[in-house]
Amino acid sequence: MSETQSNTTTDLCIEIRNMNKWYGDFHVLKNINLAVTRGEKIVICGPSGSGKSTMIRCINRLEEHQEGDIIVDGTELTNDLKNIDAVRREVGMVFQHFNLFPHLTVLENCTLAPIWVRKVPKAEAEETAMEFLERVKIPEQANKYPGQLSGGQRSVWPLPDLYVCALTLCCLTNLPLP
Amino acid sequence: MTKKTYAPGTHPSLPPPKNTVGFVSWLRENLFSSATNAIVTVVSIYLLYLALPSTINWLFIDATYVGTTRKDCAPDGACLAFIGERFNLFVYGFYPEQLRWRVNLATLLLAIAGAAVLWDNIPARKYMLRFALVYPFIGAWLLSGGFGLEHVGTHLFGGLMLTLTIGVTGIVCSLPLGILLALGRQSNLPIIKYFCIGFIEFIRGVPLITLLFVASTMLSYFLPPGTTFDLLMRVLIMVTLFASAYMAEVIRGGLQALPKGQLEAAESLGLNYGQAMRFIILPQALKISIPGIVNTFIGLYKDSTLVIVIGLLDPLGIGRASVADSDWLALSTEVYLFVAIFFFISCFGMARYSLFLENKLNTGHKR
Repeated sequence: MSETQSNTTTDLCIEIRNMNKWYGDFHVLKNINLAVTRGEKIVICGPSGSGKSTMIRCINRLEEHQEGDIIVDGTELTNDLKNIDAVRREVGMVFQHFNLFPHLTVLENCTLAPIWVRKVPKAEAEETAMEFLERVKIPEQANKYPGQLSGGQRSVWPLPDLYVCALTLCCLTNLPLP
Repeated sequence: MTKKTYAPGTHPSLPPPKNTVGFVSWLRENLFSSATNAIVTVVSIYLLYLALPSTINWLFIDATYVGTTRKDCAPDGACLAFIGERFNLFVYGFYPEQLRWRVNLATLLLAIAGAAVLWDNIPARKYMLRFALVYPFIGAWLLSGGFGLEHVGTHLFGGLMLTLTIGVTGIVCSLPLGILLALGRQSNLPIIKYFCIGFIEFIRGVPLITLLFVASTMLSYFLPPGTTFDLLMRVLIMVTLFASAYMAEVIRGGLQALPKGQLEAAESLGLNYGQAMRFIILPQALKISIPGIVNTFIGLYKDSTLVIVIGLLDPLGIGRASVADSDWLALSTEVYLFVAIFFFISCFGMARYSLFLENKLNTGHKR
């Protein structure tokens, strides 16, 4: 990861400057610097335990960093709850174990965030969700529960989940290979 | 024997072999499958033969169903006439006879409010739920009076009516309180966390009986002089607090059973604490905890019999008082059997409802 300085930071989606993170005494992220421009797609790879997931989780504040700055889409990540909420609204994440909500249908899973966080009307959210479910070819599963889907269908659906939220940034951890 | 060969996809569906279906094969598989099983079956049948006919004889065939005193009862049958005579006492306690319509009305409205809450397909559910929300006040007004209805002292409550009052109030109030305590215990704010821990541990550390004694005798010392609290109200508060402490621990178990990723996913979506709890965490945690929750409810319902120590008479208390009546001496078997059957019907009903609820909410989490 190289350090890039930019005079105009308006087109930088993520900017991480001199970030350090410790788990207790264990120094896991050492002096991280990263700049990602809008539209850029990057892959972070490394050996097991090197801190890849940790760094991504710091970006939407699932983990806290002790030193350095993280700036997502112009908002700096600090302990201020308003900033954290603003960042989380714009950052989508797909987890290693998917973390789907098993008690809601596929459609409800996709529309939960738009309806309650972005205050989109229910009909519109459902329409957008159905559109993206069709794109990944599982529209007939819309009213089923995660427990009723096959493994392959379960791995594909977090993607429409992200699209529906019309997000600024998507982080996919341990991306399942198609 | 040569088997006929069929082309792929054309094999006809045949009935199964005769000795794998039917009652005889069920017997063979389940009761007589091995030598040990066969012996156990025979011994069990013999024990049933010894016990069952005489019980049925005593309970149903030789029993006396009508009568006014002990002498009317046949000596070797159950004296069910006694239950019939005392039935009103068992159900209403000492509630004034001419005002019993209020109890009946309150029970009917309770059934309606209960159906609205427990049953999904009830028509006009939204209005029924609003009625259920208002019902506690209506029920209290009907039972104890005031505002136009004649006042009935709560020391007159007794029997089945008392058990239902304590049980239903305890159940309905302890669940939300228990949820709040469980969430508070997990909170990051130290004051809330330690208050919840202290409350739960204190309540769990004392028997319910001592809390009832505190309610009936000592509470007046802790309150400003001159305030008198109705006895039944004190009992209801204590029973609710007691049940909510146990409920909090049951729910905490359910919360712990959730994978941590669920809360992380909820947070990543941008849901705030209240939304994450309401939409993601609590529905799943409560679903997992249904067996524990209903268990606590059933225990609470039966613990209501403890009010006998402070002078309120529930069915068990009335049963014991009736046993001492000179007209009906030494009839403890019938009385306790009757009370036991009453409790069994209520508690088994709750258990079956819980099973129904689990199956209804099952979206693949049941093992």
